[in-house]
Amino acid sequence: MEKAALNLQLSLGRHERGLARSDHPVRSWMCYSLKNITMTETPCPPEVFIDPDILVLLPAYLLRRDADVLLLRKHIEVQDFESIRVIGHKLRGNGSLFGLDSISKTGEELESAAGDKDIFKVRKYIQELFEHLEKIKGRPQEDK
Amino acid sequence: MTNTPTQHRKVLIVEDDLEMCMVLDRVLTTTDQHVMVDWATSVDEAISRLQEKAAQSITRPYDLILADIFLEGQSTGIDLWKLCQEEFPDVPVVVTSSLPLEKFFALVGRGNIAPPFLAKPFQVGGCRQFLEGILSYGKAS
Amino acid sequence: MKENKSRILLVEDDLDMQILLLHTLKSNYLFKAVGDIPQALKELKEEAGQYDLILTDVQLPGKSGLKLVEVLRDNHISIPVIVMTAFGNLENAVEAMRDGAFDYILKPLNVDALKISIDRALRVRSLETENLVLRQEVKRSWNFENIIGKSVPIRAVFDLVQRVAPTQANIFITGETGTGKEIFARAIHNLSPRAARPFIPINCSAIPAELLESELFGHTKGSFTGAHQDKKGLFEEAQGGTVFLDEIGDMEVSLQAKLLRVVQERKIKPVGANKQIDIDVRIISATHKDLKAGIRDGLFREDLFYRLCVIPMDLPALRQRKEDIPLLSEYFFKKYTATHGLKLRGFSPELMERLIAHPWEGNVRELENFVERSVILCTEEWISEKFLPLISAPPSSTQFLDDRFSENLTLREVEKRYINMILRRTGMRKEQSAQILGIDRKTLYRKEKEFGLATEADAPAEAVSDTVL
Repeated sequence: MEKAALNLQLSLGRHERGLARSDHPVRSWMCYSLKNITMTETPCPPEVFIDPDILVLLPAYLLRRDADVLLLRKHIEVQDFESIRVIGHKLRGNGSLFGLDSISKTGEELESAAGDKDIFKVRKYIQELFEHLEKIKGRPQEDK
Repeated sequence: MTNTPTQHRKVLIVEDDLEMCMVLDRVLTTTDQHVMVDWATSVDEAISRLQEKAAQSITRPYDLILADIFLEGQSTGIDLWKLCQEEFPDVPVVVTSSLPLEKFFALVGRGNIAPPFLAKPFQVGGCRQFLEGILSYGKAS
Repeated sequence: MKENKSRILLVEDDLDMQILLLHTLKSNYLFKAVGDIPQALKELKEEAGQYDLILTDVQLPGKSGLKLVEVLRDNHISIPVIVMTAFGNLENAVEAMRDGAFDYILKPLNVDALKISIDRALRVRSLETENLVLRQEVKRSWNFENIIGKSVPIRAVFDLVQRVAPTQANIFITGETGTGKEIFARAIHNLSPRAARPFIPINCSAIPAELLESELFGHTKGSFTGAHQDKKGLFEEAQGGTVFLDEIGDMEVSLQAKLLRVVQERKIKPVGANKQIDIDVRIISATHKDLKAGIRDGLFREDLFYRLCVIPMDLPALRQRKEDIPLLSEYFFKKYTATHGLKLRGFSPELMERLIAHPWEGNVRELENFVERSVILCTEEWISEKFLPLISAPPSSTQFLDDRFSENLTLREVEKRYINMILRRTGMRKEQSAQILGIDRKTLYRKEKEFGLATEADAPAEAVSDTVL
């Protein structure tokens, strides 16, 4: 069974300034149970600070995005562009909740490509979404 | 046997983006441990909930409604606010959106009273302060 | 002027290892390194009061690191010792633990794990306790809500449990069969403000679909055939507490819709009733299935997933926490030798190696069953490799028929092998197996006894979950 999104990589680089104390409960928790989320792939503007209470929701968010990828792949097989457009629109909106600009941007592209019924572009952006998620989870380099 | 004492705050989130609902729910529950949060994705659904709750007790149906402007269906959060002003005047409604301020006012209509507005994306910290302020405003009877 | 940093005596003959350790840890601690036991003992004699911790390799020239532990114990010196050992020599480490070592670290070294262990040892040391209490402390620190484990993945889960337990958030537990989903759900409940109220586990795959709604939400008299009186649903029984929905991936979509309403409205409506009942429960759900695929295939509602999965928790498979295998084996060994009053000494090193290497498809539950079986069947002092066949590889259904066809088996033999196969497949879940086989629990137990597949422990008593993971 593939590992669920809990096995994430979290590196608190640019977010550390928000977690002033090194013994901040979320940070120590993050260090043990979510490994490092590298947000550096899609630079998050320095003024965006994600509240630790909200960061706790990130694993579930990523799990649902994984489900989105599966759904998108299903939709493109049957050329259900409307469903793809809806998902793209949602991604455009919810990426910003965790400062994940790459997700927002891909969502926007997906929405637009689906609107144009462009199969190639849609496939391309679905793959891009998948890769962004993998990067966020820090998987490519990791040997499980 | 009911376990929902009347002093628990009740908040209704009207938002078609479920991820946003999750985040707002979390902000609310970490602000006030006993808050009861309901979600609705359209104005129609919000209204049915309001009516249901109003029928159940004499206290106001919700202590706060947080509504996005753009929702499922025809009506917007602003329409919901207008409706509440008439039918449920003791329920504060705060409208949220990522629209820039002028566009928001244009939507409301120039010269009209505008609902309280919370701009997206909001800083969760600030949002929390804001919500705490509103929730502490009229105590539930 | 006395330094505030703790002083560690490092006993390690491998220079590279010495350098590695000194380099990575020198900022936090003061080190003295020696290359063998005689030097270590000399150092201790001269500077006895000065060391806060001893870090020793088990493999040393001449006397092994275990000797050091023995000597300290015999001389009632209460400096905590952490032994370092390679996988192949784990039984040494476990023996060292029995003799009073504080902890063991596996090579290749995980520096984070080592630091954690050192810090814990130093903290305990600072309480200035005797060896005996140290050992109890060790047991306690390995024993988190009745869960055993020291590996990094499992400790990560402990931490997560501690963080999320006090909140009201609904938790979603994933993991293979036998990884302890119910145990962790209980742990979350016990650490939550709801601990004093009921914890009600419900296995959604064990209850027939038609009856599940009534089980969950109750029913009124006469609402369907067989409903002879009003019955309270399990959600209502759990009022104020926690409901654990196990195997929720098996719930029918129509019932999922009803469950969603329950979660949204915080009200239930018993089957056949007119009035709704307010409920206040926290829901912990679990599944071994891939829910994302379920959502894609329309078998699981995404909106319900939002509500039930605020915080996901993934439990590691046993093969992902190999360091815990000796600990768990020891624990089960003690438990079952005590239960059955047996005088065995333990597992042979060769067997332990094989146990560590085994994939354990049924995870901890499978390991526990293996230990229990081998403890009962073993007539010698040490349980050796010859008991390995008691763990069998999970057969596929075609294999069952193909292999057996070449032999002329009696019906009885076929029945025995089939029952055995189903038991293995469900990870020894008796309820599920009985259901699959189309017999009741008592009949299953009877057949298990008849075919020598079970022990007294399998008897269907009240559902006591003292299984330890």
